[in-house]
Amino acid sequence: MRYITGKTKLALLILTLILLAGILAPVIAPCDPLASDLGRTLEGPSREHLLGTDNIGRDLLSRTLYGGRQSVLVALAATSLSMALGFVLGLVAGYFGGGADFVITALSNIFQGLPGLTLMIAAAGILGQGVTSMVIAIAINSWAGFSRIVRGEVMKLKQESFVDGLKTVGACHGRILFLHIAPNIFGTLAVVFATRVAGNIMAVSSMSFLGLGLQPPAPDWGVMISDARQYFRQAPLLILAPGLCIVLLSLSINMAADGLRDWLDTRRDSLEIT
Amino acid sequence: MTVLMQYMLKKTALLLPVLVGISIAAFALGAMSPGDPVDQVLNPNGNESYTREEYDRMAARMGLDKPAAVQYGKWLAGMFRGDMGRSFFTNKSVKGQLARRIPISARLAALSMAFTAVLGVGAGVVAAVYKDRFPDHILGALSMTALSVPGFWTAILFIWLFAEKWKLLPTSGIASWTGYLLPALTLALPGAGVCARLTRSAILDELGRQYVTVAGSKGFSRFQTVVRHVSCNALIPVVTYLGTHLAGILGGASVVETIFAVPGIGSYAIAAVQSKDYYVVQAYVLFSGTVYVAANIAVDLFYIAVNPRIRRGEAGR
Amino acid sequence: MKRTFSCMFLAVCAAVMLAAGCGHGNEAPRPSAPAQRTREETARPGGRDKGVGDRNETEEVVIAAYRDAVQGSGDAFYCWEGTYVWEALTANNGGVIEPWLARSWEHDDQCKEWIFHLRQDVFFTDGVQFNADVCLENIERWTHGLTSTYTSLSVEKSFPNLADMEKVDDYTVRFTFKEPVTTLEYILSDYGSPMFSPNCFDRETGVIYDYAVGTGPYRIVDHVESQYVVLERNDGYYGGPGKVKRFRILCIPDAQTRVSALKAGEVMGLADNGAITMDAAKNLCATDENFAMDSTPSHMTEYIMFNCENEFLADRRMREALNLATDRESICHVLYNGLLEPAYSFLSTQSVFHLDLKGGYDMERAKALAREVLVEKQADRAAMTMIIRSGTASDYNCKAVAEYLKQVYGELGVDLTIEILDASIYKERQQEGSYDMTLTVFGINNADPTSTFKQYFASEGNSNRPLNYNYYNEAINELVAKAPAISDMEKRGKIYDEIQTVLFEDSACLPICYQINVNIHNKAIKDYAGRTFGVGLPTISWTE
Repeated sequence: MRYITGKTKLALLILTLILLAGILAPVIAPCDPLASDLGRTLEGPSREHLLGTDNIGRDLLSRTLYGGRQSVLVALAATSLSMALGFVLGLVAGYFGGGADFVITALSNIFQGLPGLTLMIAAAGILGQGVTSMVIAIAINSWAGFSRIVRGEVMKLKQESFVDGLKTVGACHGRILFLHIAPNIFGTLAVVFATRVAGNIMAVSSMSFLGLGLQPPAPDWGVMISDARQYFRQAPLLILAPGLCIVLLSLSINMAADGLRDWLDTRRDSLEIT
Repeated sequence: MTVLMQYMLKKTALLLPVLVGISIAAFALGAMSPGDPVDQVLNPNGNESYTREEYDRMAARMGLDKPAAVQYGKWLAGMFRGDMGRSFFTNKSVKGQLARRIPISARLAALSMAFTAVLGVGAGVVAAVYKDRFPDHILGALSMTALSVPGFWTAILFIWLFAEKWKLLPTSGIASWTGYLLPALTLALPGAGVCARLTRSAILDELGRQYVTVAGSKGFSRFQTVVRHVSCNALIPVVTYLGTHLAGILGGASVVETIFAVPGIGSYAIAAVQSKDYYVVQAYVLFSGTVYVAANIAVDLFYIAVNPRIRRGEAGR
Repeated sequence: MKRTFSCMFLAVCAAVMLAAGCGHGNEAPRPSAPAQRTREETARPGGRDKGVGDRNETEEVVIAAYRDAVQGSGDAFYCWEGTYVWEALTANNGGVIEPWLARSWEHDDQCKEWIFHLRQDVFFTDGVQFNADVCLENIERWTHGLTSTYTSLSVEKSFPNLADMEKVDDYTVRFTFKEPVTTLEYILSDYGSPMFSPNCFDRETGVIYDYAVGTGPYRIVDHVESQYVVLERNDGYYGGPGKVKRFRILCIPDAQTRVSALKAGEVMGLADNGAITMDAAKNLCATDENFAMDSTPSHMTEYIMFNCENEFLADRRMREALNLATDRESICHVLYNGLLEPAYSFLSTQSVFHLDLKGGYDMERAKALAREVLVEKQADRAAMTMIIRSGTASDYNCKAVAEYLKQVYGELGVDLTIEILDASIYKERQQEGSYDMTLTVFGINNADPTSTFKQYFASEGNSNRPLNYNYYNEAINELVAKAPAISDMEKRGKIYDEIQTVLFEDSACLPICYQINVNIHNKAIKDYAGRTFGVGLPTISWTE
């Protein structure tokens, strides 16, 4: 069944819109997201400020537009890093088996057994706050999932006849691994990647919410929600706008991942890997 | 039976190094964290001074004057004796704290898992019964949304609506059992979303495999058909998921516990990580690691119970 | 087999749910939440008329605190002072030292011998009378190196250079010191001298047993760790009993959840100062007529402290530029809702030595000054890091101030990077000197401002170099050295004026605003007043 459903198209549309809004934020944002105006705090929607202003008089719409940039970038970077790590380790473990497999599986078990958020908070403490440490912290926390899946897929493929055939022809391990086995995994990996990005966007915003992510005054959805908790009774949009953005972004990525899975006809449900 | 025993032994043997690894990681996290707990204890407000001797005395008392490897050894030995040390700051026994807090987190996790299972499996079954029809679409969208909502946001909205506006449930605390409802629901939502999707696809797979035609039948009879024909095999991914979900909540509901003032281990851990209370963090990480390992074994047991091939010793393949 | 297993699975699910539900049945029965009770009572129109006094006797008042008000046996103080369980020799009431368990005190001319006269009508809640023996026994207890999450407690700290302590008569104690101690009554106030019944602690280790027994107007009757503590009135209290019979202090760590609990009517007030930010309190009062806010002066002041080793900040003109660009009026008016006073002089309005200085806001001059410095250093813009301790940021709404200042300073050509850091990391950064300025809130030793001036601005001050403020000004060094020798208070005041003027003119640091303590309560209770430590529980009563 290789077709793209309407649902997927909608998801892709929303996703594109959100990403475009983030990329084009400097062009389309009506105001500077950092410019405060102490004369106009906590205002409701108006012509100049379509979504109103926050507690120090910054334009909420502009901040919301900018707010996704860092989260998405961090989530993408962290997921790519963990995928690269998990991919290589999983490939090695699955293909060679034996001692390498034992060590890598044990390692991935250890990392999966560590409590995610606590690990990330501790890592942020050790590495210092900031984008880089957030990327590393999340990557440390999520490479094991990738490695497990890749290992499983490789073990399945290894049993298939073409690998034996290649071996008898005398192809070296590297060649078999990267030219013949790896491409067969990319489909699954793409689906897992998309799902993980959605999950990591939530992780990034959780960390920002706790004040462990981006430093002020950088606009970020998680930070905006955390800051708005004092004021949202007067200005509910302060908490709804960034919150809905996180939901929409993660929802559209999840739906797109779903569509991708159907399209690639990957059997595995991408959500089994959580 | 012996094969089963062997299998379990092998599994456990494989998981033992994992626990050791987790304990080392737990210790390393503490040792690597910046900030000096001795200074924190002697100078909690940041404006008191102390002498070098006072510092050394306190470091010795806290066991932080030895090299890291020795500290780890002492800590591990203590663990085997059931002594988890004391919190640097409150001087309370970590074991006592865990004993007090684990049941609270366990109650929260159990309630949350019950919500997850009921909502998730229920929605999944309904969606499967009405495949490609209106309820399926609605539930599909709902479950997708549920798993895309960040917990802290749900928590804020829940408190605002259920406690402040409608005054139906308490905002926080667990003085009465109703206090568990909002945090449990907050934690259950994403899980329920995943669970619904897994249940739906598992049922549909199963039905497809069994060549059961339900296309023609309608309503209640369809429902009956689904229930009658779905075996435990279909539940494998669901149960696997629930197992890891339970472990996750038991060990990782930090933010939700803090927001709802539930004095479980998650909120304890988050406070400890932030204040560099090593022994607390170490004990917590080890605990959540153990829960993870235990959940894995439990899920394996479940596999064995439902999958006769493993029981017959074909597990190795 | 399949069927059996399905059944088993269902059974497990059911068991889990039962366990979740039953857990509560095993616990001791607890009174239902008072908020619910209130509603029931008001909903009963023909119900028995209850007088106020009656309500004070029957209905507990629930308040919330950010952490467990009782820390337990492991803690030197066992519980927070705001529970009104234990009392000390003297009390610091907003900077004024008042008698407490000691009714008076005196010292010799050299300040080496101090005599404290104790009250003669004080009994612990276990019936033991408080007297000189008990007092000395308590002081012995502090020698055991007790730790606490509040502040440290030791004889060295409370009685620096103590040579001897002795009982003069049953209600008089004498302390002799090797070195003069000028402000002993200040050091001993509150957490400096907690008194417990000798029956409630171990004489060998100093550790308090299961329950702390103090002399205060309330005692602990129930405590569930990290959840709540129930306090009951001590009817035999020497100072007259409190009005409400029972208080319940809930532990709600999340600041915003506390606000929600207030809004939902679950709690009537907040137990400690700083439990609600000024902003939130003001908002709550403005939007909900059920709440009243009260504020009490605080000796805390919000400052920007510089690291004068920064090449730009070493130049007085750059500091002055920042000073002139910092619009205190707007900050106080908008960010602090008009509740705070702008600050220009180092000593707060709470200090008797406060000098009323008025600075100005002049963006044009600020820009010109900053430009001069930048041009001289051949720099286009200056990058600086401002660090804030995370606790300060959340307790005082400093984050908004920092974000606002980042924008303003940007116009001067100063690019500010704000970093909010955990306490321990903050301290490390200060010690390393890897920061350019810090937004911070601290209070001043009112009894002796010399020590504070010395600490922060004198070359050998124990904060100046160690925390890398690196401020150097010979005039300050001289004035600080001169002050202690002057016994005439008026003349000494002149020196303090001079110091404050010099600090202001040199823009040594930027005082931003003088803080106040705000607290908030539901109008269902009255006479709710903030104190230095917590709210005054004994005066609170139900309004109706």
